[in-house]
Amino acid sequence: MTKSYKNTVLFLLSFMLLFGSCQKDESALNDYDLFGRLQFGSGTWELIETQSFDNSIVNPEIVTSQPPLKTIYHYYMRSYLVGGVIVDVPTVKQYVDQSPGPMYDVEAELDRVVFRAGEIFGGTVYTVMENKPNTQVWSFTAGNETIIYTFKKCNCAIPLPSASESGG
Amino acid sequence: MSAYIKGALLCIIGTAAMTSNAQLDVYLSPGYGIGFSKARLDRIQDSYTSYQTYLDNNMAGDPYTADPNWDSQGRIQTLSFHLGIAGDGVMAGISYFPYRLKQERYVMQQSGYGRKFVWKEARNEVLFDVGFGSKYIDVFGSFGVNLNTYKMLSYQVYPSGHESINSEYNFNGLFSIFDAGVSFGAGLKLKVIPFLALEMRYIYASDLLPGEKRSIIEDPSALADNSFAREPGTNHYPLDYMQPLTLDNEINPNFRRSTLQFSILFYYRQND
Repeated sequence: MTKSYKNTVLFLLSFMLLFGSCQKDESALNDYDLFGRLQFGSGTWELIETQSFDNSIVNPEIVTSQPPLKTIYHYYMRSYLVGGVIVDVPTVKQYVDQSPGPMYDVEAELDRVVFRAGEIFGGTVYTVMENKPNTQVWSFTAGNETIIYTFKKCNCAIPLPSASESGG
Repeated sequence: MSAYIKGALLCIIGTAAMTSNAQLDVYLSPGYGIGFSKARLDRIQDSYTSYQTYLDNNMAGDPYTADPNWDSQGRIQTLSFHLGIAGDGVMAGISYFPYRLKQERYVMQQSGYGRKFVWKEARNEVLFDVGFGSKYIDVFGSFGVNLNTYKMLSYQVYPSGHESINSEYNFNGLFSIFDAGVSFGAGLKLKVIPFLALEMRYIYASDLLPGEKRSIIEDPSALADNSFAREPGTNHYPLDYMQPLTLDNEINPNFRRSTLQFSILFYYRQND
């Protein structure tokens, strides 16, 4: 084997190292938090379908529906100043048919996602059932009712705030 | 491309070029292997037993069936990565073994309700190998660190089959902890087949770093669910379900593991 060929092989092997982390989520302590995947790219996900059923019975009837208005969720990192320190908070904002909806702080882990609307303790807890780069399936359970949400990554445009005037 | 990666690439290629006329092989090898591993999991085993005791005492009218307790030994498999030099009587290198281990246990009651536990170990062994190297065989000792994230997931199971980790019940949760320890071991690498190497190594992964025993940094760590959605004071995965959920009823990581690993490596020998 010639020296140049050897060096080419070594270079290619070395180059493989560069791709070892491709498409991996942002990681803290190697736990690959889900938020990195949610905010990747435009960070927008569209609610495609919901399925609801009674979880207290075997083989329950499943009611499937699609949202009547286009509903998207925009995940991004919100930064603000606290005592002279910039704090980054994982955030999601909902838009329904171009209208801005509520905004939540997000705890997004691989197996669980929590939306918190400002409360210190509490929040809406979702169980992650399916976690793929372009599809997320989460469930929410309260009492006997379970709702399964299916989201698709959509690269949707974030609705811009409409101009308004209240005086002058 | 970051400056660090560029620098690492230049070092590797430069070293290869410098040694191409010597009797040292520079290797950069992915590997795949299986291992037989034994772990210390007595604390989560005790916790699992106590959960069944809890059901015996509090839900006697709803009999249950439970999976056997957590396996502390079994077969594991992993990819691995190796970088180093060998030959001319010396061998030195770095090895990386990312182990991803997962076990599931169900405790199901006759009513259809139940609980699912999932135990995950994301173990990362980074080892420095030093020893005797030659054209066809390397013998080495290893030392390094293990960097691990442990997770215990506890789901409520409903009669419909749905599994939920929501905050409706205190027993639900996603309890995790990062822990590191010292690792050491020894191994043997055979390189008699072109482009391949067969490696056998033993790794003992301790749960402590030097100086950690009885130190202030050991005790405060426990399997914990730090979500804000949780009721305050119930954040720790309980060692004993018969006791109240408090921050004292906890599991400190002591999950040491020993592994006998057999790997097959791509190995390009420069000095044939």
